[in-house]
Parts: sequence; structure tokens; C-alpha cells
Amino acid sequence: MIDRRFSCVGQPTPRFDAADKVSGRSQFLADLRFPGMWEAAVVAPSIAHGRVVSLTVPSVRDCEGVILTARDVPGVNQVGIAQRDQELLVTGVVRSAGDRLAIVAAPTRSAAKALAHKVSVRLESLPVVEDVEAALSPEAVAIHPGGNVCAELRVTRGDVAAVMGHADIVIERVYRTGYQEHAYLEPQGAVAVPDGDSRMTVYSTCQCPFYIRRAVADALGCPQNRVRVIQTCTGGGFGGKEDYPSEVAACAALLSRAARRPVRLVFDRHEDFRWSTKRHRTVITHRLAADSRGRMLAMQVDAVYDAGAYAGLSVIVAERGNSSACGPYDLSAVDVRTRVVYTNSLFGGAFRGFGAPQVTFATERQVDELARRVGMDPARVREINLWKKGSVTAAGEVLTGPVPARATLRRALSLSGYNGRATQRSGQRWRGTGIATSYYGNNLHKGGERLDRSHARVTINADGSISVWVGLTEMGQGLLTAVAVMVAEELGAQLDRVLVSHVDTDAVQDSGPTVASRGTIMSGMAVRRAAATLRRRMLRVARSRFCGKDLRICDGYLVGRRGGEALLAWDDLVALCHANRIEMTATGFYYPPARAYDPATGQGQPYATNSYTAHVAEVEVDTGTGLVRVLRVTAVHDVGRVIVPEGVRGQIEGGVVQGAGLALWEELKTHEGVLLNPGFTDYAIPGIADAPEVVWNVIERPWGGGPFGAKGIGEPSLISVPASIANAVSDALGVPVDDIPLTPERVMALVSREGAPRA
Amino acid sequence: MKFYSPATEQEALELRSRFGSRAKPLAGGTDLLISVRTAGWPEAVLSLRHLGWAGIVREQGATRIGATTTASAIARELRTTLPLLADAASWVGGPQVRNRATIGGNLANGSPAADMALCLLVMDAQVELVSLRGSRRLTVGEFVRGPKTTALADDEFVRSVTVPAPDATSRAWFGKVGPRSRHFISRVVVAGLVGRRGDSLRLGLGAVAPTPVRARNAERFAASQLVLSDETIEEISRLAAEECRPIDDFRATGGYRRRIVRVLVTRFLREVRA
Amino acid sequence: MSATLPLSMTVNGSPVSVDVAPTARLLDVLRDTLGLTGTKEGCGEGECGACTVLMDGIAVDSCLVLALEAQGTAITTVEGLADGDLHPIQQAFINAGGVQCGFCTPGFVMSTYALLQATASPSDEDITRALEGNLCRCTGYHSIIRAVRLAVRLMQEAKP
Repeated sequence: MIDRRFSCVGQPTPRFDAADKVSGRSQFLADLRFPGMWEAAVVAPSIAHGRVVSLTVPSVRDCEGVILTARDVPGVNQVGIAQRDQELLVTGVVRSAGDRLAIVAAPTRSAAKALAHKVSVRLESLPVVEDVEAALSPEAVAIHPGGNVCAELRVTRGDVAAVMGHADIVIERVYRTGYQEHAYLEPQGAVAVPDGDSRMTVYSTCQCPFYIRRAVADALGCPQNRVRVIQTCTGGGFGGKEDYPSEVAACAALLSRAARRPVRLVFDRHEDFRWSTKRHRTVITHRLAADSRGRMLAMQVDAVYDAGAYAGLSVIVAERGNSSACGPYDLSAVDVRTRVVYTNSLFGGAFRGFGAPQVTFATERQVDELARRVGMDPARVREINLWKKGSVTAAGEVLTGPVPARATLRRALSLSGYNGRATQRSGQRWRGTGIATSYYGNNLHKGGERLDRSHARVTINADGSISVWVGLTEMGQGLLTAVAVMVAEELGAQLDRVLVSHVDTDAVQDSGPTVASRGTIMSGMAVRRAAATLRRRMLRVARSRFCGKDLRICDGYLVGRRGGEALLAWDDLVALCHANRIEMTATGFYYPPARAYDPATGQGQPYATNSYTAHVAEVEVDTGTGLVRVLRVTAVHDVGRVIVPEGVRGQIEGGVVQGAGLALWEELKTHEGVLLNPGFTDYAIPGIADAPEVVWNVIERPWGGGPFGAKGIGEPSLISVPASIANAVSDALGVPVDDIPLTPERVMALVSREGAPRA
Repeated sequence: MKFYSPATEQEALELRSRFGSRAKPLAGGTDLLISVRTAGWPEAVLSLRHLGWAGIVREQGATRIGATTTASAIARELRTTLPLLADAASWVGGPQVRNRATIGGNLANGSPAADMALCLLVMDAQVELVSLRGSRRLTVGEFVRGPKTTALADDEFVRSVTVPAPDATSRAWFGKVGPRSRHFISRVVVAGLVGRRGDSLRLGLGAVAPTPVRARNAERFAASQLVLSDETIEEISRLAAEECRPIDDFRATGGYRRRIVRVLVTRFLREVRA
Repeated sequence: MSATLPLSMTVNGSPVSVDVAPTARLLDVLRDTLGLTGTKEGCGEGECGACTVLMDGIAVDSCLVLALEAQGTAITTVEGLADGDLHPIQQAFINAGGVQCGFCTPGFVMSTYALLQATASPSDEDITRALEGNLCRCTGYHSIIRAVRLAVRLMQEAKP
């Protein structure tokens, strides 16, 4: 995979921030100290739905603390990110257990908590809408004035009813997926530091500093240029720090403004579990029509996403689920209906995969059910139906570029030794193998197009060192190292001269959220433009010095293009430019070309390009206890171009394990909208003993719309993992799997099903 | 909160007597420092650190384990002498927790899912309690009374446990089931000792009743059988499952727990027979 | 409000004497009183291991140790592993790609340090046992295991 045409891109590259991280020197949010800083706490309700009868705030001396409620918000008491349906501090009605009735700051955390306890709340219970079935029932209480259906999205093409009416086979099943907690090791938090009375700096562990700037400005009632957001070294995000940090930051800022001092709000792990966003749970009714030779004809998918009490990002998540529901398969007709439904349960939000893992699970299970029905190998059924160049997608898009869907599948089958596999049902440990193939639409959905732009700034300092600012965030995935590699490559400089900073909203223009696996693509395209501008300026100076010569900059030297002789070292070239008073700062701005898309029918080009993935999972099911061990997962990804090999590997291995958690071990249990098992004691994320062997490989067919041809990997690395594991368990047990997570109790229920195979 | 770190046992007993229920003893702290997050701090905390209660001594064939002996020490030092207890100790939390959690704390916490306490019950260990009034010994069954409830009086400490030497020919088996492979609170835990021919079965079940329990009916039935046949094993496991009183809670349902008891007991006895 | 009590211990080889609240955890004293923020709080309940330090040479979750219980002990935090340069374990984590977001990293480094103090050539099972009290959400653990194996080699090579 190492391409000799590049000096830096694709070369083994240790992370530039690793030394600080291993030595404990990195400053995470809770490591920051500010003189006079106070600590904050939140007053949250004990029930998920209720009318506020009274909210009594004790008087408190200025030196003891501050307590704020809705009436103390100087700006707008609204934090809804896409729809304005969510108060920052509750006024009349509590709609979720994560609502805030009041926020408190005091000199210490324990003093803040003690003060919070003194706020007296009386709530009159309202009926709790526990889940989407309850929300959609005719007698359901409306959580918001418009009713409980927040949004409905469609994809329609062809005549599904007619196709299904004539099909040899129609398979209909109802699938359910559970919540997932991001469980980033670093909990949510923000520190707000006032600068006089009219400016505020907010430090946040986050993925989207610009969302925070808007939320803080709204809450304070001030223009955005008076708010500066600085992203701290962020200890994991996975989507959980996309929108929620805005709520945390707005609270910290309000308290800081009121107390006239820095205020820190950091959640403890239980609070984080109870209040922050989760992967949406879904109910998906899926109908697949096919002929008796395994050729798929049509899909009708009805997917319902449980948003919780507020829209948050749910419609956007559902947008991706909606567009991805039919998988990478040739179909002559599709009918997808995706609904986002309000309940009083946990707050659904962005989580790696963003709506796609759920529909991928349902579709990939259906493909295996089809294979079982027609007596064909699941790999063969996929081979027959996967998109190829020229295929038409569910959105009616003709795939004119390369479509390595089959290539990823074949390589995964080959690497995993799939053809030599054997389903084993002797003794109590049964083994099975499962496949899942999926595609991922890169960058933001057409619906988010207005956000899909990116800004970067590169400065070459007089000593030859290079400073880079991008608008996309590092949260562990290695983005800033990848950016440095791309800058070095584009400039022709040595990698160790480049330093990329965490995002500062004063340094760059809003570049949209670091989501949708768009970090490498968007920051890379922008930063290449900035670097290319600088390279051109430097070469112009160089040409006037070395007249007539054909020049280029490479590996930290100015070289003659013909002979390759080194003419000037980088530092000397830079000094020459500075001496000539050349502007050695450049910006780059990039947005993908506009696309056509009709949301009423889901037809058009929802995404800039697709990436293809195949996962093969091998599991061992203990049919006595219901515990599932994942033995090995083989992952093959179509990534366009590898920028940093260790980064790609890290995403693939991490995605397998986090995806396995969704498939098997992670279950959030609620009762009347309240979380019963917050914390790591009773929510089992995979530990080191649970990690399967991971065999991985990538296909590099460069994409013209990506920097050096690169596509995204952050989410494809997870999306089809749960489906492959569910298919493997189904293979082992010989029964369909309709629900994830496949907890031991669910597995035992499957084992004992009437008609299920015995050892 | 008032913190005391008495240097002698006498001092500790006097403090315990003075404060009674207003004070909590502190051994490894792995339970206390979690419980105070919801229950708040007691008026006083009495550290047992300097009382010399950590250590393992052989006394006429029995093994006396000081109350503040850690799970790590037990896992390491009792592998050959008391393999059942050592095995259970190696399953407590992760290594950082094992390095602090103590056997006295495991008992005094009174959790129905306590792994080490279950093994002590199976091995007919005696718990030594001390106070200014003197010392007394209780069996584990007498000591653990209900969920998080023990016979420990407000002026008492657990000072040691004494485990009689197990039968030299007995085989030990310990198994716990939870949501993932390692590092979890047991949803079901089974600890057993049995002779090679299936005789002298001692069978303990945890997390399936208000306290750790011995499956006495199953044990009695096993004693009445000459041979460990498939049918015998089936009946022993069935009786054991019947003797549980598992609840449905957010960790697991009672039905699942009963089922797992049967599976684990069956595995235990089949392994022994092999 | 309780009065503070004196606490004396050795931290990373240097004697330390501070006054602490009786309810303070060792984690709080290290981070807030001594400013050694390399040790992290991930859960506060001994589940994630991000707060792992060595106390008299053994790995403990500092969120579960009452600070006053550390009286007279020798504490080693991630800051104390090496003087200036990186310890071979730290270098190994860098070289093997065992670091992503970095929040769990000090805890894993300390647990690895404890392991390699006890066993110079750990088996695969020794490694997973020693690290089972540390959670990582980013890496999927394999690069961490590779880092530990690399650390074993680097430390063996460093021996005279």
C-alpha cells in the first residue's frame, strides 16, 4: 500500500501528539486550571415527563454561588440544534430525564452539588411515552404540539407493490436495534472564561466548536464574534460530542457570565450516561422481494427512529438511514419510509454510522434470510446483487465511477477463508460465520449541503516551521496527523516541520461538523489549496533566483526538476521568501459541487461518492449461557487512498470492537424514560478479553473528490460490523436474528425457540 | 468526616464502640468509595490499615486469612492450598481492584453476588468477629443475612476468616456468568467442591438468592448416589436450580439465572467426572 | 466542613507533604493538589482504569483510594516513569500506534509498567489479565497489545 510516488502520504507516520499523550502532558478539559474558577452542577428531574408545579430557588450570597433558571437566560433559552423545540433550561414542562431545571456554580464541586440539592422542584407527573410503539398509538400523549411524529422521510422509485405482487419470494420481518452509549473515556465538559463583560472564551471537549459558538452566543444574547471556542485535546467523540457539548458549554457560559469568573461544568460518568445523546434505537419493518434464483427485485422498508424528547440531530441521522436503507444492491423498485418519533426516553443523537448501522443490520439480515430461502450461499446472493459500474441506486443515481463492491467482498471472503468454513453445532459451543456488505455515502447528505464546506489556514514561519489551522477536529482518530501529512506532501516540506492546531473559532471559518467521516476529505481539500497557493508563491520567488530552471519542492528541498539536484534547503528557501516580503500565509476553502436531490422522493445524488465495505465475522456461541465470543472479524474497506496507515488501521480495529459492542454486549435499560444502568459497572463495553482478532485490508482506487484520492473511514469501519456478527450468530444457531444486542438472554431465547436446531 | 487510622487493635475497637453505626470501617475501600457517591460519607471512617490484619497463616491444617488480606494476595498465595478461593479471588474486578479489595470487605459488604464470600460458604469457613466485648465466630451462612445485610454488630469488625483444609482429593470448580468475558459483577456464580467419585459435594450459588446459598437439597441428593451418572448430574443441577430464589432485576431475569445455574452445575460435574 | 489532615508520601521519588480533606481521594490529591494531571478520571468507580497509579509498586485505581490511606506510601504516576526522555513503555505505545485519543493511555501505561515490573516476559494471557482493568474505546485493544509486546522487546534490548 506504500506508494513510492508520495513522500509522506501513505508512509508509516507516528502521531505527532502521541508523545504528550503517553507522558500525561496533554491537557484535556478537566486538566485546565483558571484562577478563581468555580465548579458547576445541574439540577435534573427525577422523572421523564411532568409539568413543573413549582421551582423554588434558595437565595444565595454572591460569594457562595449562583443558581440560574430559565428566566435568568439573557439571550434565547433555546438549544435545539436543527429544530427549535428544546429549551436550554426548562420552563413549564419536563419532557426527558435529561432536562435541566436549574444550573448552579459554587467554589467547589461538592458545594455546587449541595447548592443544587437546595433547589426545590415539584413536578406533576404526566404519562410517560416510553417507546415508539407507544408514541405512535392513537391514544398517545403528544410530547410536542405537533404530535409525536417529528419528521417523515421517503425514498421511492418504481412500483414496489407491483413488483412484490409478482415476485416468487417476499420476506417480511421486523427488526429492532437498541440504544448505544458512546462511552468516550473522557466525559463531557466545558470551561467558560469571561473576558470582561462582553467577551467569553469557552474551552470544550467537542467535535463541532462552531455549533458551540452559536449556542453560547444565543444563550448569552451576544453576537458570535464575542464568543471564542477553543477545542481542547478531546478524549473520544464518536458522534457523542457533536451536538451535546453545545448544551454543556451554554450552561458553563451562563454561569460564568453570572458569577463573573471562570466556571467549569464536567459530568461524572453516571450523569454523562443519563443525560447525553445515544445511538437511536429503531424498529424496522423490512420487506424484500426476490426471484427464486436469488436475484433481489424490490425493498420496502419502514424504519422508525426513537428521537427521545427533542429533535436534536435525529432528522439528519434519519436522513442517512433513509438514504442507506436498501444497501448496495440492484433493485428495480424501492419504497422507504423513515420516521423520527418523539418519546420521553433517552436523547437520540449522532453516533458513528449515523443511522446506517441500524438499517444495514436489517437489510443484511434480510439478504441472509433470502439466501436461506433459496438455498444459496449468502456470499453468492450478494455477488449476484451487489452494485457494479453502471448500476442505478435506490436514489436513482447512475454509478458512473468505479464500484469496488464486489472487490471488497471477494477480498474479505478470500482473507477469511470463507469457502473453507464450517458451521459447527456439536457440544455446547456452536460456531458460525456471517457476512455483511455495505456502502457509505461520503460527506454530508445533500440535506446538509449548506454546511459542507471547509476552511484552512497555513502559515510558513520565518524559521521554516509551518503552522496549520483547520476547521475539523481531532478526537483521537488521527485527523491532525493526516492533515500534517497532506500539508507536508503538498508543500514538499518535511513532515516534522508541520504543526496542526486544535480548532479555534477565531482562527478559521466555520467548516461544518467533524462527522460523516468527512474530516480527512474536507480538511484535506482545503489545506491542499492553502498549501498549493504557498508552494506557487515560493516557486515564483525561486524561479526569479534560479532563472530559467524548471523547479519543484520535494522532501524539504528545492530541486531542479530535470537533474533532481538540491538547490536550496527548505529553511533557506523560506528565508528567501520572507526576505522578499512574500505573504507566507494562505487560506484554502473547499466545498463539494452541488448535487441534485428531491427529498420528497429521495431521488438524486444524496452523497458525493460512495465507499464500499465487506465484513466477515466468525463467532462462537455458548448455547448453555448465551454468551457470544467473536473469534475473528475480517474487514475490507475501499478507502480511495491511505493517508496515514496507522490511522486507517486504528479506525478499522476500533470500529470492529465498538460495532461488536452494539451487536452483543451493550444494552441500555430504561423504565419510564429513566436509565436504569448508567455507568460502566452495568453497561458492558468490550474489554480487552472481548476483542476479536481483526484481519483487515484496504482497496485503494483514488477518488477525484478527495485529497490525494482519499475517502472517509471513520464510520464505514463500524457500519456493517453488527450485521456481520448478527448473521454469524444466526448461522451458528440456525435461526433468524431480529434483535440486537444479542445479549445472553436473547441468545438463550433463540436457542430454545421451537424448531431451533439442536446439537 | 472524621478519619481515624488506629495503630492498635484496642484503639480500633474503642473507636468502633464509640461511633457504632456512625462510623464505617475502611479496608481496601473498593466498596466504600463507591457507596459514598450515593449514600454520602459517614460521620467517621476507621482505617484498618495498621492493625496487622493482612496475612495468611496455616493453623493445624486450617488456613486463617486476615480480614484485610487482598484478593490479589489470595489469588497468588492460595492457589495450591485453597484453589477454589484463589480462583474466585482472581475473578474479582480487574487487577487494580484485586490489589485493594479484601476478603473481610467482600464478606462485610453482604452482596448476594460476592464471589469470595460464596467460596467461604462452600468451604464451611468461620468468620471471626471482634469487639470490646470479646470475639465470636460465625459461619458464613450465619454472618450474611440478606442483601447488603450482615450479622456484624455496630461495634464489631471482621478480623479474620478460618477455612478448614479441604479434602485432599476434592476438585474445585468456580464459574461466573455476566455480560462479557471478564471483569463484571456476577449475574450467576457457582462454586463447588466434590470428590472424584462425586461424593461429598459442596455446592454454592451466588447472585440467585438474597444471600450466597448452599444448595443443600442438591448436596443431599448427591450424597445418596453412588455414581455420577448423566441422570444424577441432571437431577443435582435441577435441584440446585430449584433451590434458588432469583429475582428479576435490570441485570438479568430470574428465569435466565435459574437456567444458568443448571448449566454451570452440569458443567462442573461433567468436568469432574472426565 | 471537616478540617484538613496532613498527608505525607513519596510521589515519583520526591517526598510530598500536603493537607488534605479527609474525604479526598488519592486521585484528587494527585490532580488538584499536586497538579499531576496525567492521571485521569474516567468513571470514579474503579471500572475504567484511567486513574491507575502504582502504590508501593502495585497498580491501584486512585479513584478508590482515600488519600489519607496513602500516608507513608510511594506513589508512581505516569509523570514519574521517566526523567525527561520517554520510558521504553511510552516509546512502545507511540511506535506501535497504541494511542488514539490518549485519555486511557496513562492508565494503560501504568498497568503495563506494573506488569513488566512483575514479569519481564509476559504471555498473551498475562498481558490481557494485567490490562483487563483498563478500558479503551478507540483502539480496539490490538494496538495496545502490540505496544506491550514491543515494550517487552525494547526493555530487554535496553538491558546491559
